Order: sequence, then C-alpha cells, then structure tokens
Amino acid sequence: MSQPEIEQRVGLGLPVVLAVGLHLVILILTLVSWPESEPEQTSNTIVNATLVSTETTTNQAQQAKASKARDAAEKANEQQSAKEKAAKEAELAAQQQKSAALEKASELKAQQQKAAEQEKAEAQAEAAEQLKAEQKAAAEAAAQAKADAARRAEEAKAIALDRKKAEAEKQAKEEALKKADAEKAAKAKAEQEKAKKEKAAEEARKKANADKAAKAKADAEAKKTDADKAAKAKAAAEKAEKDKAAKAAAEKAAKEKAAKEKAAEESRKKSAAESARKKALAEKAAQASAGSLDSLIDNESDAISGAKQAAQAANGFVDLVKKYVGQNWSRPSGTTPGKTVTLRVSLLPTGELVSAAVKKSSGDSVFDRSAIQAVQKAAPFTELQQLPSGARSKFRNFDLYFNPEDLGR
Amino acid sequence: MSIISLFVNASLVVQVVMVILLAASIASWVLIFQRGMALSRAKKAYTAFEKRFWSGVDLNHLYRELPSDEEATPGAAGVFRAGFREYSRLKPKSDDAQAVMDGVQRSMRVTLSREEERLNISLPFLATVSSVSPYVGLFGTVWGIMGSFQALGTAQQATLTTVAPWIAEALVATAMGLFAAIPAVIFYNRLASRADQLLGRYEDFAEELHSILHRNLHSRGSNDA
Repeated sequence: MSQPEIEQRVGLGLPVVLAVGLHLVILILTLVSWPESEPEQTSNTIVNATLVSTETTTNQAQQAKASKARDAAEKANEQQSAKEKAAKEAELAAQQQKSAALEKASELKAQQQKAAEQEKAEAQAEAAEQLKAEQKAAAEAAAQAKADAARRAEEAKAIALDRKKAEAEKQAKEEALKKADAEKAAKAKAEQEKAKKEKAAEEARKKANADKAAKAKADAEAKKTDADKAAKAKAAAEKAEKDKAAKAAAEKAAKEKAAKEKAAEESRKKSAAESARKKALAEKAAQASAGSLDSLIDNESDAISGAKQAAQAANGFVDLVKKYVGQNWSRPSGTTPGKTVTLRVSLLPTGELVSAAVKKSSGDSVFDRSAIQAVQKAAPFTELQQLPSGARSKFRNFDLYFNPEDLGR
Repeated sequence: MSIISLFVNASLVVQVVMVILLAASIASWVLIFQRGMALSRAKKAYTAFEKRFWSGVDLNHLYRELPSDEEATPGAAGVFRAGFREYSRLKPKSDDAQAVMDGVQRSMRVTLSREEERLNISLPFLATVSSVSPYVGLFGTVWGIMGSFQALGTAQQATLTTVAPWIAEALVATAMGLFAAIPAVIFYNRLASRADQLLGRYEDFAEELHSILHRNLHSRGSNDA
C-alpha cells in the first residue's frame, strides 16, 4: 500500500532523458529533411518549360476542323468542276442535280428572256402600228396579241350596236382582268389605262387620218351634242365604224395592257428568276470562294502536316522558346512540386510578344503569374523571323506547357 | 544551410541566445515529462486510496497501515493521516467536540496547502519559459539583423543575396524561441488544470473525512452521555 505512494515521487532522470531525446530526434529530423530540399535550390536555375504546341498551334480540335475543311474544300472543288464542265461528267448525284437545275434555270431564263424580247418587240410593233392608227393594223395587232382578243374584236365588229360592243368590251375587259391575275387593284389600273389608251387611240386616229378623225370627231361631237339617233346613215356608219375602230382599238389597248401586264408579270417572274439565278450564282460564287479558301486551308494544312522542314525549324524554335522561358523563370517561394500551367502565347511576325495569358491554370495564381512573367521577360523571340513562313504563321499563336520538372524532387 | 550551419555562422550574442533557448526548451520538456508523470501517478494513488478508504476498513487500521514518515504519504493519504492523527490526539485530551474538529480541520488544511504546493511545483517555470522565450528569441533576431545591417553598410552591393543569409541566421533565434514557448504554453495550461482537478478531489476528500470524524465524535459523545 505504501510502496506506490512512495513511487509518486518522480525523479528527474527519466524526464531529462526523454526531453533530450525529443530534441535530438527533432534535430535529426531537420538534418535528414534538409538534404532532400537542397537539390531544390541547386536546380533552381535549371528549369524545364516544355512547349507542347509545335503541331498543336492549331490544336487537335483545329486540326479536326482543318480536316473537315479539307473535305468541304474537296467537295466544293468537285462542285466547281462540275459546274464548269456544265454537268457533262456528273460524278455525284447531288452535283448532277445541282448542275441540271442550274442548266434548266439558265435555259428557262434564256427562254424567258427571249419571250420577253419577243413580247417587247411585238409590243413595239404594236405601238408603231397604233401610231399609224390604221384600223386593220390595229385589228391585226389585236389578232396578234391574242386570238381571244381577235375573236372579241370580230364579234365586236359583227355587233353594230354600241351597247353590245360596250358589253363585249366589258366582257373583254373582265376577261382580260381575270386573265390578269383577277386583281381588283389591277382592274382599276387596267380601266384607267384603258381610258388613257382610248384617248391615246383617238389622238393617234386624229393624227393618222386627220380627215376621218375630224369627221369622226365632228360626227361624234354632233351625235353626242345634238341627239342620239339624229345622225345620218353614212355618218352613223362612219361613226359606227369609227366607234368600232375605237372600240377595237380600245380592246386592243386593253389587250395590250393585259399583254403588258402579262409581260410585266413575266418580267417580274423573269426578274424573280433572275434574282434567283443571281442568288444561285452568288451561292455558287460563295461556294467557289469558300472552296478556294478551303482549298487554301487545305493546301496550308497539307503544307504544315507535310513539310518536315518546317517541322524541324519549328522544333528548333521550340527549343529556343523553352530555353529562354526556362532561363527567365524564377521559382516563386512556397510552390509545391508538380504544378503545371498552360499559357496561350501570341506573337507578332517579328517575334515580339502580343499577349501571354493563362489557358489552363495550375490552381496557384502565384505560379501562373511567375510563368507569365517568365514569358514576358523572354519575350522578343526574334528567331521567329528566321522560320519559314508556314511555320511562322503557326507560331503566331501557340500553347506553352509550363512544367518545371525539377520542383518534383 | 542547415540549422547547425546557421548556428555556427551566427554572431556570438545570437549563439548565446540560441543556447539559452535550447536549454529552456530542454528544461521545459524535462518538467513537462516530470510533471506529467507525477500528476498521473498522484491521480492513480488517489484513486487507489479512495477505493481503499471507502472499502469499509477501520480507520484506525488504515491509519496504522500508513507509514509514519510525513514526506512518504503525499496526496489524500497524507490528508487522512494528518486529520486522523490530530483527531486521535485531541479526542482524549479535550471534551469539547468543537475544539477537536477545529484542530482536525486546521491540520488537514495545512496538509492540503502543502499538497497544492507540491502539485504546482515547477509549473511557474513553464509559464516563465512560455512567456519569455519569444522575447528572448526576438532579441536574438533583432541583434542578428542589426549585425547584418552593419555588415550591409560596409558592403559594396546591397543585393538580396548578401542580406538574406544574415536575416535567415537572425530569424533562427525567433524560431527557436517559439519552438520553446509553444509547448511550454500548451503543457502549462494542461498540467495546471490537471493539478487543480486533483487538488479539488483532495479537498472533497478532506471534507468527507471531516464529516466522518465529526459524526464519529458526536456519536461517541452521545454514547458517553
């Protein structure tokens, strides 16, 4: 019972041993850990900054795009050749369709143009005939304009009465209007135009046959002013003939108007077709230009991928960039090993630095900044001027994979 | 650039400071171990004695088991021994129960005070180390930096490479001061709390013994009457 209580008195021997041992262990631990960290300082000047992007200046994604562009360029080239050959050798169905459609469109356009020219010529001829103001010529013009109009003119001639003629005119007008897209606005316009044409026809008559016109006018005026049925038979006949002629002329004019409207519609269609043609042409041109660009890109990428010389020069440049950046890099204190950062470096053709930005951060902003500062210090990569142009364009923008491997130890 | 090379290259004052701090650290750790062991053993002894005391043993028998040497019976056993000895001495001489209990209480209070002193021994040293060693280390650092700046004044080029080793050597003193101070602070608090806890238990035991002796005295007085 009393023994353990005596042992409560603890001597200083064991605690001293323990304390001294503890300090020795700590000191040994520090001495052991120091040699590990010494290489870290000696290798401070040897820094490896590896440049990833000799071939990845355009990156893999961009290379994929380039290959796609190549394919597109090939297709475009094929299309272009097919178009140029005018579908003589239709290799692809799509190309055949396109070329056939284009040819058809061109043919249609030509036909439309021809028809328009013919119509225009006819219209001019008709106008000339109208100027001559001969009823026969007008009748012929009317007959030429449309067979229906001729029939109507004949019917109108056959019908001696004004009312019938007026009805026929109305019918003709209605028919013409209906033919002319049956648009009310178009009808109103056509009526106005008819009135104008009647006036024009009367003037033409006056000019052409001054006597007849004067007589007709006088008769007409006399008839109109005096009475309805008081005119003489000759005068009436003449008047009737004149009226008929006038009506016929009016009908012709109406027909011509209709024809003009049709022609206008056709011209619209033509213009639409032309615009469509133009669009198609523009698309073709765009495709052609795109194809040319694609072909350029294709050629360039081919040159890039193919040219081993440029690659060798690029490797030399890569080594230089590595060396310069590594020399100008100073290790920030407290950085843990194993950190890597990817920088996006943009250069002028002269090799001067445009920008250096963090593309993929290491998570340590201090480390990222040190890498950017290293690139900025190493900045004028004047060796870029000595590279071939293809490789130089590659190194205008490249990714710098910054990996100080010596920190790993 | 090891700690030893830093120590060797430092100036004499800084070396002395570092030696003092190392000694303080070792001494504080010695005391930490010694006090820790002592407190754990005292707690173990108190637990054993309490178990024995409450096991129903006759107090006279228990008193006879204890060694007569006062220094050999620390802790609760010493409190019991002092109290019961005073009780057994005063009881036949005095009929006044109150006087007997006053004597017992005074005797136990003296023993408790002695136990408190014994439990808290050398803890003030830990407190001193914990509060002083940072200042001592700082003194060494300031002295070292003073020396480095004096050396810089004579140097031709004041680059970072010429200043850095001096400052590193100077800063080692502060590092050692903190190295000594931090464990001292931690273990001072811990050991002081453990000592207070144990002393509280002693006081509780003293109160219980006082009540037992008081009951015993009054029951005997009633029997005598």
